[in-house]
Amino acid sequence: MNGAPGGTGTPVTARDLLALPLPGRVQTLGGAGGLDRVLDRVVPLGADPGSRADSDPAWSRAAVMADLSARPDLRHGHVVDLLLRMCHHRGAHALIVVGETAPALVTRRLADRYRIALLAVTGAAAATVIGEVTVAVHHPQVATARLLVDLARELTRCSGDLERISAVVARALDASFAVHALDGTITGTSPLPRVPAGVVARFRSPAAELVEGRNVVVQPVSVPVGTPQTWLVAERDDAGPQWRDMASRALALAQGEVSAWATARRLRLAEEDRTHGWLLTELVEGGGRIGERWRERAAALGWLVDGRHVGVQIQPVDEGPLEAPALAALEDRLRAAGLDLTGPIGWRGGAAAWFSGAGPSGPAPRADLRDRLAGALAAFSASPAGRPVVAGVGRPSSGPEGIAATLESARAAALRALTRGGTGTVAADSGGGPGRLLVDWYSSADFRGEAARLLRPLAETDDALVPTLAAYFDAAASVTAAARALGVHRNTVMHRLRRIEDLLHVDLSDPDTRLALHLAVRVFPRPFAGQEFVAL
Amino acid sequence: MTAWGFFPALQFPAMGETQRRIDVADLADLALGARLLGSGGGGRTSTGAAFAHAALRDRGPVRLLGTRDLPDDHTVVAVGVAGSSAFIEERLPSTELATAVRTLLDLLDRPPFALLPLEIGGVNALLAVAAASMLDAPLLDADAMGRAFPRVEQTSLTASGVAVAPAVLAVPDGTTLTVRGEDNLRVAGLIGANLPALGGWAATALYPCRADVARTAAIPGSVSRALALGRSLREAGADPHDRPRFAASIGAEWLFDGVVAEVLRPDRAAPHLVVTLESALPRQETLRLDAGDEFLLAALDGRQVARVPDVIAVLSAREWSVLGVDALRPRQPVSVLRIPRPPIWDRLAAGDLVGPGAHELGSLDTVAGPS
Repeated sequence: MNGAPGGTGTPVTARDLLALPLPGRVQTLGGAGGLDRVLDRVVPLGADPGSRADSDPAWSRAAVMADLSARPDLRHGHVVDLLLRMCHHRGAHALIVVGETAPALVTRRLADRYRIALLAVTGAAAATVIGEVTVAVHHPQVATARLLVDLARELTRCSGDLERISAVVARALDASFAVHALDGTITGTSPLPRVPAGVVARFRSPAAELVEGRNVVVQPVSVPVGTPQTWLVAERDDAGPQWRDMASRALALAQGEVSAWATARRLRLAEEDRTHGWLLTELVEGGGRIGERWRERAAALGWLVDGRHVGVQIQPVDEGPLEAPALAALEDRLRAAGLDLTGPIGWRGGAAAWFSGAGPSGPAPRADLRDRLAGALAAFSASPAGRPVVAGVGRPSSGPEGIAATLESARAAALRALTRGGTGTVAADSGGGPGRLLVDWYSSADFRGEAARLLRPLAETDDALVPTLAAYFDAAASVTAAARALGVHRNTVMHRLRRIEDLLHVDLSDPDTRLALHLAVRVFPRPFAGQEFVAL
Repeated sequence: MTAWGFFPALQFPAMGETQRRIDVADLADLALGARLLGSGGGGRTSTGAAFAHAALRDRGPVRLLGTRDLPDDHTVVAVGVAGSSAFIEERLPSTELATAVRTLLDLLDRPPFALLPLEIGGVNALLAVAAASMLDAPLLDADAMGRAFPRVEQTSLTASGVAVAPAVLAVPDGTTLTVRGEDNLRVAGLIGANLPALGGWAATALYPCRADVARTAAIPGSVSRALALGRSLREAGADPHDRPRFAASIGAEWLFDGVVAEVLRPDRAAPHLVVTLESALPRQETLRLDAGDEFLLAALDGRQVARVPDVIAVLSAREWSVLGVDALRPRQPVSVLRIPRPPIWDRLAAGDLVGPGAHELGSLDTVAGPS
């Protein structure tokens, strides 16, 4: 039979019988060591446990079923002992007793010794139980199909309500169930699956695994492109391969409903962010002149408008704005770092946030702000929703117009951080300096796009080339100084510069070429450079 | 199946081999032996021993006759009490045994007679001695059960076709009840049904038959056997090293040494008590005992090693005393012995009458097959 009588390729074990949707209550009385043995067939003994026992030799790898429901006098089970012994001698793997059974210790010991799973089913008619177990063992796909049909019907009644969806799936699988979102939110039935969110978020495709003895089935919600942002997780202790197979299919089915919920949630988060963004835009574009209505709405969102503010701009190193799930995850990490900020709000390709203090002296200066911010950025970058980012801290400024001013200052600092450091850099705008001239250059999307296009051949050829070029320019075109900064031999730098000239078809001795490439290198994304602090 | 034949000295005592008298000094050994043959049931022999002691002290020893010692046409009457042994503790026997026998003999025109112990296992062995003493009648060295059974029809006499009726029940206030009938099951059922009205137990005289019938239908040598078992047990009790020799000497099979792990009491649905015994590492075998009023089945790791009408004796490993069904407690260290059933049961093919099926362990035979 090759362990797959039903033809699904997934073997059925006694442990599966604990988890499959059988009528009545199934419990293990003994022989736990035999729960994972494969069942190939069902041998029902009928109402008189002995009537067919001797005439049916084909017990190999069987689940033997005895109906004792009409014989409560046998519930202390010397007959069960004898059946266990027969199962042992004839190679059966499980003994299923239908009816109230309270076996003596000796019976449980015997099942343990023979490694024969001894299960009792109560609360259902014997004929029904025998029929269902037979279907479950011989045609497991039927049981699965039935469950899926029922589940599909139930899911249509959930109207996108995640708690109802969770309850329906959990009940169908008799398991704990949860939906994990990328920003760390977990919704599900109590008790929640114990598998950690970090483990769940690593799944890129559906999986069913045994994790520390627990059956964990994960279904990432499909997205047209990119990585999953939502996962369905089902978990239960006692179940076999057949249950895992069934649960995988059930989660795949529930995925549709959850996907609808996830999309709606994403839209809602985006809408909230847009409201904040709209207020901020109005403030900045109005040059700090605001009306009563604006004040009311800002107050409703918890903004402290009239105090003194310190802005923070967080900017992704790679292309593309920070979207709602990422903003939610970022907010979570900033709070976790003890930073009590308004925001973050999606702002100019990154995220804006600010500290507000009530009095003219503003928020208390935080000596460890850089460290906390850098820690939050690192945590965010490492999170499932995270991306590599840098941050800039603006100069303090007061009043409603001060919010706009400090955010502008923070953005300038963030752009400097982008150009001067790598991922995780936190820069503060301490004011002044000719570097401010370059801010407009750096902040131009056209320029950044052109720079990326220009340098892409280098990045695609060898990771070392762009850093070598940057080191060369930063060292005032000194090959020797660049080699020292990079920790390589001078000839290596010479060799790399020649390759760069070849790849880009340029001549580095030309001053215009040098200036253009220097500017381009400044805005090209760099690998992680630690929690470096760069002052302008 | 090892049979009674392990008992060379005690088997089928020929005429003249039987101990001729039972005296006060014999009662302790008789009680011990009867307790062993009770298979965990049969009532407390100490009560019966005290009662017999008083009778023998007042009236002298009882004559013990082999089944061949009686003329063929003499009458044999089985005697004992029927009912709950717990009630015997509450209401001690007095003259009702003699009343029951006399009433029955009156019905039979007072022929010359001898008494047959109804049940050698438990208190009835001693009450038969007391009855013989009170009536100044000879006691047959035999019995009708070979151990203890819960019902009066579970005898080798029934299996041999001897009628239980006319049977007389008597209680101390002089009330007697005579049951007549052809069908032993029916008569026994009526006796059982009347016991509650008679106070839980009654003295009974029953199975009147000719001596030549009793010679083949009763289990011979039972009283001498109980005496010998009691004596051996007492002697072996002093020294644990003598115990294996004791088992061999009485023809018993040593089944198990271990500790009581669980005692599952009967309930309304499941009438049997189930005891789980576990032996020490490394073998760690388990022995299952199923019991009703007496121990009925023993199974070692699922394999049956003793079944009623074998005697299953459970002895305390410390004191080497015989333990009743109700005396087993978790963590008690015990030894379990099988004393093979008398061959008469196999000869009469009496499995339906006294085997597991007769004790609501019915589906056993069909399920078990050859073990």
